[in-house]
Amino acid sequence: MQLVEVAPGEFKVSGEVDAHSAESFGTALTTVGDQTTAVMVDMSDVTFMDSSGLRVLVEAQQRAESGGPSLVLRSPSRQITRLLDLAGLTENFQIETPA
Amino acid sequence: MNESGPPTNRASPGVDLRAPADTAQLSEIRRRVRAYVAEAGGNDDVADDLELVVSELATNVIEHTSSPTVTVRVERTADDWILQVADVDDLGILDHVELPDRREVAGRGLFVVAALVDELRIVDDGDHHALRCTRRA
Repeated sequence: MQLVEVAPGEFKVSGEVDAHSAESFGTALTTVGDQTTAVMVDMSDVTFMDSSGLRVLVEAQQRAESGGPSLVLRSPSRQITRLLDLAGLTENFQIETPA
Repeated sequence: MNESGPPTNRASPGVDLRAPADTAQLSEIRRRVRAYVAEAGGNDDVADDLELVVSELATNVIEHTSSPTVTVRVERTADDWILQVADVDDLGILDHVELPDRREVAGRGLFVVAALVDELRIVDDGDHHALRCTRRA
């Protein structure tokens, strides 16, 4: 898993987000969130995510709802979209899917 | 990772996977399950589902039990895909798998598993209890 800043406040995560990488994903998201008021996370290159990744996203969204940086998920893959749906979390997030 | 019985056809005897209970093994466990599904004639939907199921259940074993190994069996029968994971923790939750509140950070793994398969059953796998997941082929 890698999280790189591609523009101010815009980040791209790539690779697999599971129990092995979720902690570093969460740390990276928290760190970037400390430096900006809005975080856009491009997820188009995430090849796999499970509920360990959901946990990180839910924590980031909770920070947003508690006055932290807003969170937008951009271009989640079909697998992530389905995972969010199965977990009942689709409505929990602001999701941007470019046409 | 040790394995045996490479699949050769659709109703194959399946493949057994054993790996150290370490999250660093999760990627390889998923890769092997996907490979089996492809070799046994499954499409991407089946591969996606079983990949997610095995990731959730293997993570459960690693994070919530003292088992030193993750033991997985995946098999294509004439009618079903069977994925069995030994030593999964808190199997009693199967009696009431519920979606946690959206504000809850954890607790969605088994719910996701239950949503992806057609049947969940606890089986006695020798010295261990295992969670047997059945997905209609």
